[in-house]
Amino acid sequence: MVTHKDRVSEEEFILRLQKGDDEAWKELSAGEHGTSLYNYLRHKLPSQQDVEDVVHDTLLASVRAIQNFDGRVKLSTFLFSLAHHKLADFWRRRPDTAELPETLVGPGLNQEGIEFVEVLHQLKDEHRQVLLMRYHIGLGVDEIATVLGKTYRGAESLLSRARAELRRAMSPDDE
Amino acid sequence: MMNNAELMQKDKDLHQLFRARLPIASLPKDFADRLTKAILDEVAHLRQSTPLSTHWSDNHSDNPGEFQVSGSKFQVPGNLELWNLKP
Repeated sequence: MVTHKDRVSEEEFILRLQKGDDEAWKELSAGEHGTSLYNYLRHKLPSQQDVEDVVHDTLLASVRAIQNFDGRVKLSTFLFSLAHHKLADFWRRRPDTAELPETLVGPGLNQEGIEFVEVLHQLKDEHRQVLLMRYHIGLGVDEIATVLGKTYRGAESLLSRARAELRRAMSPDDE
Repeated sequence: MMNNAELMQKDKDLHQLFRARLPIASLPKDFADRLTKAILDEVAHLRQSTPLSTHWSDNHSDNPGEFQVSGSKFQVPGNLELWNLKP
């Protein structure tokens, strides 16, 4: 739940970014926001280098874009919307691949984690995407709706279908 | 049809499942350092070339959800009307 204090604190943080406060930009890039983008994009791109490139391009673009940011959506919504544009640019330049991203099959994930990632990658792209945004990164349904260009009800409905597909994929014997 | 309490519990369970199976990874240190340097260089460059905003309300676009990146207009996708983001 977003409190008044959270809103004021985010407004102050955005103001510091707009004023070019180095400490605020350090916090944005290496802190929670940069980490969220990195973790989400690890599931969307084929290699570590690609993930780093798109995180870099997204945050670099945000330096200029933040000047016109009107504060009427959350900062995370703004950053994920920019990231989706950068992802679209990436896939326009590169052919699609169905392989599991190499960034996910490395140290840091145990066997259960690897199996879970494999299950996620059996899901429809849009279902995997919305589940990751909601449950891995923690975006709100309203934020997901804005990032994906859907209505609130549309995003809720997509999430519901995604949860059902995940449930079936995790317990195929229940079918 | 699930009620709100059931839906909230399901949401909570899925958050827990994702946290347990898919821990949030930290940025690799060398990448974080390079990224921060690139961002601070861009901020310094922008600071030199244009006066940075004193407040977003002094410098916002007439079109809500619209930003400019390198001279190109950029629109946050979504139904802005629904989110009361249109004037």
